[in-house]
Amino acid sequence: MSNTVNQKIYAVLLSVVLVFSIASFIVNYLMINEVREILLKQELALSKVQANVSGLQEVVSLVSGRTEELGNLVRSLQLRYEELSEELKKVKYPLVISDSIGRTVFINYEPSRVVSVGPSLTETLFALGLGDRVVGVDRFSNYPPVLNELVKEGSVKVVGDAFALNVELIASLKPDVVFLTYSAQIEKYVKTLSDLGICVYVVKVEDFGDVYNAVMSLGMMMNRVDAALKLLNNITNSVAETYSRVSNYLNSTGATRVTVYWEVFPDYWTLGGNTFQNSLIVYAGGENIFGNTSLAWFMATPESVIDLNPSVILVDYSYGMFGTPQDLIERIASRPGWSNITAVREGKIYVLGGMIEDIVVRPGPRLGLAVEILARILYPGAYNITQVPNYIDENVVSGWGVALSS
Amino acid sequence: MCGVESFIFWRKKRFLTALVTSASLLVLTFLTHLGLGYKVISPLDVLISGTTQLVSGNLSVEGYRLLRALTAVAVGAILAFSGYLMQLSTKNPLADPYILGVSSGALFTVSLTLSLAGYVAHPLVLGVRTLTAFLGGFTAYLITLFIASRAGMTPTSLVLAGVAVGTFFYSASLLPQYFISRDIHKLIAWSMGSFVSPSTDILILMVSALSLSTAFVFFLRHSLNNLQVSDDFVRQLGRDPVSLRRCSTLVASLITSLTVAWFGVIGFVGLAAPHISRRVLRSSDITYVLPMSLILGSLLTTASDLISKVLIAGIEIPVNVVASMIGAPVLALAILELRKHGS
Repeated sequence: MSNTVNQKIYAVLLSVVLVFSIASFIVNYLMINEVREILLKQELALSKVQANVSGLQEVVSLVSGRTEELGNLVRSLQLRYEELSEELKKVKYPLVISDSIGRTVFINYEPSRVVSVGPSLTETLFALGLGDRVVGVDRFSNYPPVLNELVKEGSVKVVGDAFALNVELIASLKPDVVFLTYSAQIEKYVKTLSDLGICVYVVKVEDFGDVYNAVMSLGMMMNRVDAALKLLNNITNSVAETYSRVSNYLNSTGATRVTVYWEVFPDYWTLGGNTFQNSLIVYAGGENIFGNTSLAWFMATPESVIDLNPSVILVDYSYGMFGTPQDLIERIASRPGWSNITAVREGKIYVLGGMIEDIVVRPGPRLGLAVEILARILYPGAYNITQVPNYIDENVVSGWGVALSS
Repeated sequence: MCGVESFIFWRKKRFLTALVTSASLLVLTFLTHLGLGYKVISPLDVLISGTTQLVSGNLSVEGYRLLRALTAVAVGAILAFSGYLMQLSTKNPLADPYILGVSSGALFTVSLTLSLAGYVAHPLVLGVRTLTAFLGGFTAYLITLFIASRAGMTPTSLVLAGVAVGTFFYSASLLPQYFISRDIHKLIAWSMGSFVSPSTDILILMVSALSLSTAFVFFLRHSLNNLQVSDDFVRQLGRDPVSLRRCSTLVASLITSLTVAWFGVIGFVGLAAPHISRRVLRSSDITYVLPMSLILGSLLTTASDLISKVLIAGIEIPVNVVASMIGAPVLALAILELRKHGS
């Protein structure tokens, strides 16, 4: 008897479960379809941004040798931006937007509390006029200067860095959204934070194109599309201006392109073609001697540097870890066989220190500035600079009349 | 009598054949190391002009190659030597400066000194860096030995204690750098072993340390041989086994720390070289195994450095990565063998 009763109970339970799962499947399907439609619309807008980004890259690759066309191209790019701006103004909350690792992120209302993990993201937020919404930053974020005061005051908290995040602190800040720069271990934090019910948006900022995508995505999410477009426009103009100035200089004087060896960390750690700094060199009119290497960061064989014979050597000051700038220059110049390298012979070893060291590693809103500083170091003649000092910090750069903060 | 004599003769012959073979292999690798680089240069040219450059002190590419190859040879011999000495004094075939935590201990104090004082090249720093490295390495080794002796001093307990101590100090060595470096890749860059910046001063320092310690071992070779059998044997010869152990411990950590201070951690060479020597010679006699180990250690490191500099043109792969990929399988083999012999 009891067996048949049990069987009946099982049958009922099973059918209930079945009905529920079918129902939830149907509901899910409907919801996903709805989401997909919203997503498609926004994907369209984003793809236009991307088209513009590649537009910029085309501009710069076209520029070499044909500077008269540059003005037209920049103008057409601006027109495209205006068109896009109209398109993007239609975007309204709730937003559905996909991030750099392909996750779909929902934003229900305009975020008023934001945590930014990544110095370049923090700089972008402040550049978009959203500084007052930042409640947490990573430990490397140190720009703009007002941020340091806010951190000292305690109104902005330091939440660790992309490799060691203080998840509890972030949760206690109750942010509407957390912006994370992409790094190898990011998935772990994305999961933890999402499980705590915190909205996470991952932004990959590793190269020039990424800066455009990041500024645009942040602008869209924070309802600052106009400011984002204006910022991108400024960056584009600044880069294009530097590039055309250097190209004009090269064409008029017939000077050869400067080859660069950039030692990011003594001894011998340098960068290949797949890096932000490589793009900086290229847009400043130079050529990275390891530009053909697909690796990002690696240790160069000393002999290969001698053989590739760079005409300029750039060194990161590494915040004084290797003594004074003079010590560092001495260290490089005295390496076996390096006295034959053109840069060493002509004394063109430049140590990048102070604020400049930060500017040239951050793919953020100060990108145009970074390119201009490099161009001035590589081609002082194009800027009427008679003598470039071997240690370059913010004092030197402002002495050249470059505005470091806007 | 006749049997013993023929055994001794056979052993000597085996030793000589093995020694000559490995030495010629080393010479071959050394010459290849000199010849290959970013560009191929005739090894003899490098040897001749490199020597004159080294003597005059005005280094160019040839001098650099020669100095680097010599450094690799010296470091390899030192690592094999200290590994062998550790194996003798702990009676454990699995001992190695890296496995027992000595390298990581030295790495920790060097990291601490560097973050406090910077990488400034100053004659004084040469001594300070070596000394602090030695303090760290020696402390780590003592802690490992202490834990292992509390756990019964079996081969396994020694290795496990070494792993614990090594992991602790390796992590601790990352800490000061973590607070100073602003980029993660710089942090990783520092702790990888490499011969990319050799120096004549350090080469001289290493060679003299190695010859002094070889003299020490040669002087005590009978006692050390007996130490492999039992402590009572040593006592019968009128030496104190405990102080003998202490001396070997001191020497082994000193010379290991010297290499770690300047070229980073290079693991498993100290394990692989003596192990292979014992297997090839089928003997544990110091007078045979030690020279063979030194040559094999040099061979392993020189070959590893050769691979690390020519595998991808223009790019250096950390030598530790290559050396460990050769050495770690030997550790696995040694563990299997230990199990087979039931010790």
